[in-house]
Amino acid sequence: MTEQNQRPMFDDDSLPAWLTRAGITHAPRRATPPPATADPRRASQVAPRLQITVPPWETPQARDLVIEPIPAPMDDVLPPWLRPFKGTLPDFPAAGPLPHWQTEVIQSVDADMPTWLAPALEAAPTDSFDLDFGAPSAADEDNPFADLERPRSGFTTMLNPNKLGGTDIFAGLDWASESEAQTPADESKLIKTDQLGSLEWQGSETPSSRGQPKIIHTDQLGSLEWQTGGTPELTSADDLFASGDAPLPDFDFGTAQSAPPEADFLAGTDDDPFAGLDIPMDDDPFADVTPVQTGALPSLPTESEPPLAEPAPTSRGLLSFLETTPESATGALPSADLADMDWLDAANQMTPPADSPNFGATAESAVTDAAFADLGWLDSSPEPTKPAPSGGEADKDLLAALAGLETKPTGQTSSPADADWLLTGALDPAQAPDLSTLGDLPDLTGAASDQPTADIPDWIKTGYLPDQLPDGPPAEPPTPKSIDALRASTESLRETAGPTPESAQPAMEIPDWLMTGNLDESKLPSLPQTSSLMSAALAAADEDVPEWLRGSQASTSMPNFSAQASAAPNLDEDLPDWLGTGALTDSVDAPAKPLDASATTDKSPLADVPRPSKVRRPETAVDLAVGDLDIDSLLSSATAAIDLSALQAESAKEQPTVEADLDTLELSTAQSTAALEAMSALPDLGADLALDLPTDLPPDLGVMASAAPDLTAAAEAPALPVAPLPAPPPAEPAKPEAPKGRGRGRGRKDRSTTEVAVAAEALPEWVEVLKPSTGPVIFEIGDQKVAMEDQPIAALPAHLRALREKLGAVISLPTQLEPKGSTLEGIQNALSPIATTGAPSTAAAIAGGRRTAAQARAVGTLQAILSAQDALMQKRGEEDLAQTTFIARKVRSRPKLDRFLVTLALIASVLLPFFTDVASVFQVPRPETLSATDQARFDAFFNAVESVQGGTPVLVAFDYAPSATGELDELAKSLLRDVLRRGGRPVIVSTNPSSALHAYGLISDLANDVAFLTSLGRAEPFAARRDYWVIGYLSGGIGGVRALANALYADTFEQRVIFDQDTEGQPTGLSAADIQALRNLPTFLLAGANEDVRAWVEQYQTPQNAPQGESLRMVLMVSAAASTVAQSYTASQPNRILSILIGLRDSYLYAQASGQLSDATMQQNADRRWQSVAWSALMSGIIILLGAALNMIRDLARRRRQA
Amino acid sequence: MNVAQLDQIGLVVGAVLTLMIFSYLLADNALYRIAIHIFIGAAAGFLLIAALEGVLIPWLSATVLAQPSELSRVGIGLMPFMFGLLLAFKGSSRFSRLGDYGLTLMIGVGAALALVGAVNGTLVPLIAVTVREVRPENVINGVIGVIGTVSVLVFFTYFGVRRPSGAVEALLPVRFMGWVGQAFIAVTLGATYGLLILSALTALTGVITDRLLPWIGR
Repeated sequence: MTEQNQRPMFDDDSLPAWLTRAGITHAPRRATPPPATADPRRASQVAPRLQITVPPWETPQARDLVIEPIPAPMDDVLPPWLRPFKGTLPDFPAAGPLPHWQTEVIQSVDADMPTWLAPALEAAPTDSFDLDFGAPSAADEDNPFADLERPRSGFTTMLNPNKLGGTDIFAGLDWASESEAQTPADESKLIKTDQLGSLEWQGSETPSSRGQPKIIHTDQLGSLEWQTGGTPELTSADDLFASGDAPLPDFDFGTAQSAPPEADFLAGTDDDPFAGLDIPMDDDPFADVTPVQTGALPSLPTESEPPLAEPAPTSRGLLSFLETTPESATGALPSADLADMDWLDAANQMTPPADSPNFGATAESAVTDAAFADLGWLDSSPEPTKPAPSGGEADKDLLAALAGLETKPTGQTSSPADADWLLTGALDPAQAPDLSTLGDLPDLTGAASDQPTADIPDWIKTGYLPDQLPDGPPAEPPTPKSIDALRASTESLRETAGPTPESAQPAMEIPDWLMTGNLDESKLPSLPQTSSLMSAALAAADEDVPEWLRGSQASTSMPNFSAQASAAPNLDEDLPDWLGTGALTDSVDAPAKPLDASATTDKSPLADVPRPSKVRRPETAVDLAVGDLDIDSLLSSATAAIDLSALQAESAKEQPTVEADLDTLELSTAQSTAALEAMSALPDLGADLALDLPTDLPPDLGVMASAAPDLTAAAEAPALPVAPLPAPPPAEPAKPEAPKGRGRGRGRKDRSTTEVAVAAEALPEWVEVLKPSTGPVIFEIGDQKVAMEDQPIAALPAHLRALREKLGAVISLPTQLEPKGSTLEGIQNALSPIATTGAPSTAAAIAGGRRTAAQARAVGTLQAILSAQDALMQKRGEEDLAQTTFIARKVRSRPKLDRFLVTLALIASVLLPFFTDVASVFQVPRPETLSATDQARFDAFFNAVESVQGGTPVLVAFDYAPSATGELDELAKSLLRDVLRRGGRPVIVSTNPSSALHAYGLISDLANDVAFLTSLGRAEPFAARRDYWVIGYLSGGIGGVRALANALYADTFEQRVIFDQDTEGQPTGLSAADIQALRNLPTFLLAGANEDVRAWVEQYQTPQNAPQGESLRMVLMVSAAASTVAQSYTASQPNRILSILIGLRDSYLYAQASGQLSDATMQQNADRRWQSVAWSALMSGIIILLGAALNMIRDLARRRRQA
Repeated sequence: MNVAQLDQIGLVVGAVLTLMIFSYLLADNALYRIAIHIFIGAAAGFLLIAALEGVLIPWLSATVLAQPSELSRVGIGLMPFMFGLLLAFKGSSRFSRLGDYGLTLMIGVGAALALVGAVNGTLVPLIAVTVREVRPENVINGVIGVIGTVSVLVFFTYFGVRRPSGAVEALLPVRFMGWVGQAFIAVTLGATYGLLILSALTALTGVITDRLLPWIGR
């Protein structure tokens, strides 16, 4: 026992680097809850342990995997055995003792062993762990090989707990304990995981880079991880590959002793399948392998792991196959769910006989390379890179090798049951040739060798399962009694399946139950491990295996999972007794039904779904039984698969393998659902499900992945008994979770797929269904574009497809543009394609959208709103136009009658007194009739005028506008006449320029008035700047008045500015004495408005620098309009405002009192004028009152109407 | 053309313009607008001439152009032009701030003058006369004057109390006094309006007396 053997046997960390690089790893051990319908016997079956189904080139970087729990909704979809495992994959178990349930299972398996196998086990070395892939539950009497001699040599992987020093390798696994607590008895179902993984092997594509190993890390494949009890820290491929010193499980080829992991026979030989690899020979696990001694019984083919019968990526023979397939050593063995591995493994524990073929690479190896090369069931490579050095027939060598290992006579191996078991493992025993008729081993070997490999069914040669399965299980053929009978049976199968194309058709013919290969090992007959049996099987397989079984490697199309799911047959009925009673019947809730070839037709809902090219099919018993298949064919198909895998490997370098592979499972929801249904309905055959799926699925499938059942979780579930899965699950939405925080992120997935998948995660499921898959569909709404992803039609559920077909006939409206004039004018289909919720979201369907009733109403509402808005705008425009018209019309307004009547009335009242005395009805004011108050005012006024002395300048302020001239001019004239008559020299100022100009004209007229001059006795008129001064305009309003007041008391610059020039721009010539005299006499203010009165009254005040006792006084002569304010100021400041004269009446009185109306004409005209003013005032009053009354009546009427 | 002839021309033009203005009694017409436009244009032109000849030229002659030239006088003479120039900047959005200085000066000086003049020339005298009017021989006038003055002042009072509804409302006495003051205001405005009409009619009769009757020989 080497140090390596003392380590956990299945610790991937302990694997040699060259093995890990080659993709060989251990499947994890896991616990699975027992299915509801599990056969009680299954609880005693040994759980599968080792499943390595992923070729190395497909899992280059198994890291950063994230195992996500199964979505809750999947509970309804997942089979019962999947539901309990919703959580993430448990931590990698630490090496430790096997859980008691494992031990019990193993023990129970041992108990179930056929009696004829018991000695073999007893004779087998105990330091190897028996790789029991489910012991056949059949009784010994049912063992068809009961009479056969145990093979003395062969390929057997012994997974013996004793090899671990009697410690349970799973004892230290916490996760195992947990799983044990849950479903310790269902461990046997875990095996089925690798069968999914084997699907990928069947891809026809060949990886581009073989040297780049690609494996699915065990942590990615739950079943693998679980079964790898010794890989507690193996979380990534790096770890796996890094453990170069990890011991291999007892993988002894031809030795019954405690086989070291090294296999020397592989090294240095021409047939060394690893020769092309840079494998350190120190780690060669086969270096020390010695042939199994003759007579040693092989290990009992108890429950075995589903062999990872992956086709070798190259055609270098068995070892090459083993090199490139992690589990090639077991997977390539002709075993029904690795049941056959056990006897081979057991044979490895034995000492090979001397004449046994030397399997080592050296001359000392008992098993020759030729023996491996001649293993027809292994050598599927059409172009073996390294032909057998012995040049002997492969079959012959194999048989020779087997003969050296076996202890049972050849004749004993020729029972029909043996042949049937050996060939297909899952084949109907009726199809099995009658091996009893094979005769002696050499003959059989020779027959097998002579038998052209072309006659072997392709699917057996290549080890690939067809992508498509036949319509149904092959009719139970008659039990062959010989090779001819076997051939006949296979031909019958071929006929049953009908004509098949080269690639797809054979796959379609594979029965469902056969494709899964997850037959319950317990139901399998005992393995007659005889070379004769092998030879007979090989020979029979060459000739009689149906064609549909041969070309599976070329098939890349996906099987119809839904069909499988919906029509899962009862395999108990379809399978032969030896199969039906064992593998399929016990745990099958809904037995799988062979795929219907018609399911892949156009009518299939999955017909349009791009089929993942690398979906790995579950390893079937057939795969494992094709030990004598054509290696060339096998390897050629494997090469094809490698090519495909290489394409993905390049993109999967930085991505966890499972994640990459799971991309291939990103199918539509329908597919996923169907697949899960199929899975749930599949029987639990006790095989592992290995997921190794292509990574190059189109993004649309990635979209669907989110909605698809979480098959990753299913695959990674602790116990995933998906062995009977007839086809790989179509979708895998869940992203694997990086175990224990290892790895570098999760996403080297195809970007488009990732993005779409991420986007899909945020969408509801019903949206996911509508997701496009054929690329973005661009919706153009105006200048905006909206891209939508499409999905294949087949991805839609059936009811949606039916709805789509129905709507497709309805949605036929052509592209419409919104009508002109609307807001949406020019926009194409702005409102029409809303029917996507009911119609498929394809571009064609949307482009020809049709408005529903609700949409039509919405459109109508929108159009109504828009039309209302348009109408409103139009109305406003019309109103604006009307208003403009009204304005224009207003300019041309017709004369109003009321105004005309008022005008006529006023004209008549004004003019009538001048033309007739009849109108002189009003009393003319006379000075004699003045009241005392008025008399006092006049007296004060005359006193102020009489204070003007000869030659004294008198300040007269003309602050009334031309509109007040008719009222104040008489006062102004009367004042100026009286001043001039008294010898005074008026100095006229004004704060209003027009008033100054008017004063200038007024005094000029008066100065030149002949009558006035005559009355004064002057011959010459009064001259400006001598007799009077028109200073003119005082700028600044009240400031000017204030400046004037200040200028009167200071001989300053300001005084000269005001008094230096008159209106004519001539120097006034006023001296300082003249200016100072101005403040001694009162200022006569002629004001027509209140403002003028207030300005003068307020601002024309004695400044602070005025001499004590002096004050500026004034006399107000204002119009009737300013009389109210002037009277108030006069009354309030009687000392400063000496008197006040108001309007025409005081003017008339002043003229009469001063004797200015000297003649009768002037008196008559004054009287008529007074009468005219009286009448016009009366008429104005009447008109105002009438107008007020009329307006009040109209207003009341309007209010009444409004009320 | 002598002065008499110019007076005759002026008389006719004045009569025509007067009739054109009176044509507004019938309706808004072109004659009225023409007369108004002539009046506005003539007034603006006259104002410009009056400002130029009555203000600027005397100002410049007395300050800047005065002989002998004095710096202080020149500076003072240019100061109004400086403020006038600042006001001219108000027309520019970029330099309108400069116009604010001139405007500030004008408003400040004008407000100060108006305030001082209003207090000294209007408020104090009016209050005093109102008080003096309350005399035994003139009780009614005094009472009416007091009531009118107080009520009008109250009417222009905007004090009040805030109601729970948020509205500010004057108290009932205040409102009552306000109504009284409003009545006094209405009477005053009516009288003012009547006086304006009377002034207009007086002006009309003066034109008829001085222009029309001599022209028709009466």
